Amino acid sequence: MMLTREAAGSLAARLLSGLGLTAQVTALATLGLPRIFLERECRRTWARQLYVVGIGTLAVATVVALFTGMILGLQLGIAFRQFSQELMVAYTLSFAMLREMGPFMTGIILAACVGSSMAAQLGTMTVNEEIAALEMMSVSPVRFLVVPRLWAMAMMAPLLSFYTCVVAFFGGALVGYTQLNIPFLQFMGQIVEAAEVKDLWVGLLKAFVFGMLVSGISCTVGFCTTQGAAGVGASTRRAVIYSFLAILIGGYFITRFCYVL
Amino acid sequence: MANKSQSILPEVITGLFVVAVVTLLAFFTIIISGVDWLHGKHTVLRQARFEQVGSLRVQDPVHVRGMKVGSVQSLSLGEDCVWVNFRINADVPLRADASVTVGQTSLLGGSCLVLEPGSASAEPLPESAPIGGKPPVDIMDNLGELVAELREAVDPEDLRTSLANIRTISADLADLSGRARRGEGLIGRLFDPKDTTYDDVQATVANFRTLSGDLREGKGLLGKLLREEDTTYADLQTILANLRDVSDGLRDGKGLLGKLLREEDTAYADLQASLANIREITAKLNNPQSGFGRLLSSDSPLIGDLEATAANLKAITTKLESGEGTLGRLVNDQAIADEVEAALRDVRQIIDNMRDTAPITTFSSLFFSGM
Repeated sequence: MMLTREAAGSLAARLLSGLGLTAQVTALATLGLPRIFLERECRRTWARQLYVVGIGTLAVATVVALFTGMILGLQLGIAFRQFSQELMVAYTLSFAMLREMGPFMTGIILAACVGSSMAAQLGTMTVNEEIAALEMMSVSPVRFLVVPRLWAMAMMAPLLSFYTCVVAFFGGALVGYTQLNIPFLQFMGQIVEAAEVKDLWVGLLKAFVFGMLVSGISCTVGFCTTQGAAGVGASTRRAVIYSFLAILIGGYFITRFCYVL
Repeated sequence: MANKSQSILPEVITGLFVVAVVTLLAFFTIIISGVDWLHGKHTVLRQARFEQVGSLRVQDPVHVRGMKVGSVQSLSLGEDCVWVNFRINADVPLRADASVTVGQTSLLGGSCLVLEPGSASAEPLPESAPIGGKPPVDIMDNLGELVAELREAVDPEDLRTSLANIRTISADLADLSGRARRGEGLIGRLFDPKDTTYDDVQATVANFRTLSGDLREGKGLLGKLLREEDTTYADLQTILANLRDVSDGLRDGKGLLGKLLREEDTAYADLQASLANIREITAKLNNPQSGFGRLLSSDSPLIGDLEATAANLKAITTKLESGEGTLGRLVNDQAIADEVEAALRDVRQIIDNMRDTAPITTFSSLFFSGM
């Protein structure tokens, strides 16, 4: 009993410590936004990270979004066909993608593709004491390494989220045309009719927050890497898991604050 | 130079991607926000006044005869109403008697403005003039009112009784279906694959088919009756017309039967009285103590007397016919008849003479007597 209580206390302390450290790193990186515009090296790193985050995940995002849209269109079509309401597929797909699925999928893709890479890269640098070297040179590793990564992901995530939504709409319209006999333009017209500005921009806000969370968590986990190459692997795994959890929990609270029941 | 191009290429690709997505995002935002940049000059903003708008929201479509002609731009709460601003195509003509209502786009939700442009004979509606809005029909509210009215109208005890009856009926139906499934009863036997009722029904149907065919071909009496050229119907019609005339005559009291059927007619009473008299006479005839009864009685002496009298009359008539006796000869002999006739003629002559001379003789007698 005593051991269990001690373990729980230790776990809570580690959790709080990790949360605190992540918040600290994310806040510092957020405040470092002007450096992107002021420092040439930081801007070049930021541009490179934009490419990594945006173009590097574009293929994965395209395939995932296309098939997600097709699957949703098919499943919703099967359900709505029982009520002869096939056009409701477009309405539902529009709501689902813009409000939740688009940002969620984008966050998952970024966490899996880019967040893990960030954690591995920074973890390796930590293990190799490159971070310590930067600190010895009075160069803030957060400002030098985290700021361009965090802002690159935070800025690219909404764009990727919208791109994901559009591709998913095309996937749904493709299924609607081939399986449900709904003309392509009519399907897209219904999607546009069902979409609302608030849904679109809340979705983009979610993607922005997810980008910050994923990059902040991944960088923090990378900085906390220990025990050599094995530690780097563990950090990569932890970064992905924590990012997923953060996306789910953050998604709920953003929805809770933006939509009133 | 090549290294510089290679270092710039990712940035260019990233920039192109960002520009493309941002452009698409801006276009999508403009589209879904309802701002028509291409046709903005050909739309007009109208205002409608509603008591309440239900679930109407900004960007809901505006329909005229089922066609989308615009969208809702804004909703604002007035002192005792809701003002709805909506933008519609400028080529939609609105008249002074135009009206607008909040409709439902589907049973699952969603509202729209249904615009009635008004009659062509009315004056055109100025752009600044508000349109009168009719409140939406809220099905749920109506259902709620209906339920409330039903609660007030229906006695709970009656409802319980009805439910109990329904349960009983349900149990009976279950019992019936069970019996049918087990092959019990008429319906159960009908479900039985061994039952021949279906064959009988089939044969009956075949018979009916044959019968209807015969009827169609005009066979038999019914078939002839069904043929168009058959005169039976006309005859029947004539008979019925005659019967109607007869019945009219009877109702009007024409003829003997008609008079008999009239309430004020005395023939029935007379007939009744006559029958009573006949009954009385027959009673008397049957009574052996009465005179006629004695006459009709088999042991009456009158019968014997009558028979003897008849025999005497027969003997007399026989003698008369054979010319026996004075009367017989008188009847059968022409000469005697002529003599009698002459004698009678002489007697009449004498009597006439006497009638002529009677006053004289009488006066003479009286005169000489007095002398």
